[in-house]
Amino acid sequence: MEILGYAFVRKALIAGTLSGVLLAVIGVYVVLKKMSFIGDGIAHSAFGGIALGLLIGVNTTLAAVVFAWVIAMLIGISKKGTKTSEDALIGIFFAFTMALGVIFIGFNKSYNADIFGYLFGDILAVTDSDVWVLAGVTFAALAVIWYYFKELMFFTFDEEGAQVSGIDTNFIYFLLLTLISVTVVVSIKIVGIILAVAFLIIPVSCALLLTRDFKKMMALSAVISVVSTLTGFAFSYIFNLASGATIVVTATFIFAVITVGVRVLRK
Amino acid sequence: MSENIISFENVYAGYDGVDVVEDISFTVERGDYVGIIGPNGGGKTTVLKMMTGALKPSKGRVLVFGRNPAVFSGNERAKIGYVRQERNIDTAFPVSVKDCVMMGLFTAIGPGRRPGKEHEAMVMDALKKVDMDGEAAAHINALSGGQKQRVFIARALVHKPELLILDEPTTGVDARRQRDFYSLLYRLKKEMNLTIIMVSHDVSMISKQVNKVTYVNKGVHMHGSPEDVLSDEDTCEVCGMDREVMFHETRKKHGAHKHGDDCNCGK
Ligand SMILES: Nc1ncnc2c1ncn2[C@@H]1O[C@H](COP(=O)(O)OP(=O)(O)OP(=O)(O)O)[C@@H](O)[C@H]1O
Ligand SMILES: [Mg+2]
Repeated sequence: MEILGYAFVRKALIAGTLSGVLLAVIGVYVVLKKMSFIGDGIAHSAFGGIALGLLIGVNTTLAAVVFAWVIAMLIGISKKGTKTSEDALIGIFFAFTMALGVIFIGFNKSYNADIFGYLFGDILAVTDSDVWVLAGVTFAALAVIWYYFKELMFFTFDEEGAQVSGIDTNFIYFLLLTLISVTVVVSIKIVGIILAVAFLIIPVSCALLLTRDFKKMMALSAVISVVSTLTGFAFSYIFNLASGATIVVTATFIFAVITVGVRVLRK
Repeated sequence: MSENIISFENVYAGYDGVDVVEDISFTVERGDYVGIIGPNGGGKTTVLKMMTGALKPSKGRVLVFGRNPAVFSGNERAKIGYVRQERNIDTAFPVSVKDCVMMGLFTAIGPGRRPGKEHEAMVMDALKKVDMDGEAAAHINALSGGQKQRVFIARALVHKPELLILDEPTTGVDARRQRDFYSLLYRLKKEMNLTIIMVSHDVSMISKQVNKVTYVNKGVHMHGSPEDVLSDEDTCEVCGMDREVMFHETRKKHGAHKHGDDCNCGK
């Protein structure tokens, strides 16, 4: 328990808990609305933003949020306005922004090894301001979800039905894209770009196996997410492993245990 | 004086720049009961989608309650109840029958608020109307196809619309419940002063129930009284109906048979 005495460990735990809750709650919509690929595309587009931030010397999180959000909006707009399928569009933007990121990094003479941390997450490198940003975003996102809870649920369940019944589904769609981009980006420090989507999906998939009540499922996802983040963090600390990767491996392990457990119990 | 609730003026519409219905013109007046018939792929659902504003015509004008349904406000949309054709929406979605019907009230309740006692009562009322109140707590996935359909009908009715649009509502509903359903619709129509538009392949039922028939098959379009539309060569051909039977049905409706409140033909 003496490791809790280290400030960086405390910060890591707080950040891990916040991002765990945030990603799991957003993940409910991502999974049920089958938006995993768009979530992944948005996470990857953050890379371009981070590289741009490093190049022009602005805060990387801010640069990444703006960049990812713009890309998310572009995906959303072009989905509505072109014949190209959403999957293909996401793939195109995804590759484009990663490519931009690589070019930006190429411009950057003082090559920054931090890039690896952004790609795979480094929970121990979390700073005070990261924690504050994460706390602010978590609070804001949960408030928005609370306010539009019914609308988001209806949209996710039956978009056409929601639209016909008078829900502004365009607004809800772009709101959801905004929520995904902001939450994914602020979580990148912890789980990394490559692994962010796993965080959106795994806890929710676990919860879906355990309950059929929407609200309970959301709460359960958050709990599973936090448990895997903290357990994964402990393992990574004890065995000196990459934190983001260890957290995802732990979450996947929990998912496997629940899947098998549910099957055995149903027999 | 009868009031035009819906008017189509030389409407063309389709998907990805290819029109699937051409030059459609008709009006629906308050209190009408309109049956839409036509072969698979003829464009029936496409016509309904324009009434709800989900699809915009490529040419011509669609007015519902005197306005373009594509720009309806939430309150205007609440005047429409719509049961769409593909009801096989995500069955894994964690939602109960009661919650699903409650969605029909979300626009009325508004963002930031939770359903109250009065809304619960409206939901139970709507479920009673379709004989599903016993299943209120069940998970939507635990229902049969026909039961699901009735739940979606309850959702379309729960907010007490003026216009009810049904896309093949009785597909997958057993014969007894189909009969019940038609008499129910007729009763609701009177009680709630509804205007009903219903797509159906059940031509003999259509001829008994409705006061107008619209036949849609791509470029071919007819609109008028059941005896006019149903006695037409083309219509009979495509619907695969024996003309004698059809004539018999229409004669029965407009001939000797007297319809009363408790007459079992549902009329
Ligand atoms: N979303 C869509 N994208 C592209 N084409 C579509 C779409 N929806 C329908 N179509 C095409 O438009 C035509 C008319 O379809 P529509 O669904 O309106 O027919 P329908 O009369 O309702 O048929 P059914 O009796 O099978 O329900 C069909 O040829 C169909 O392939
Ligand atoms: Mg159809």
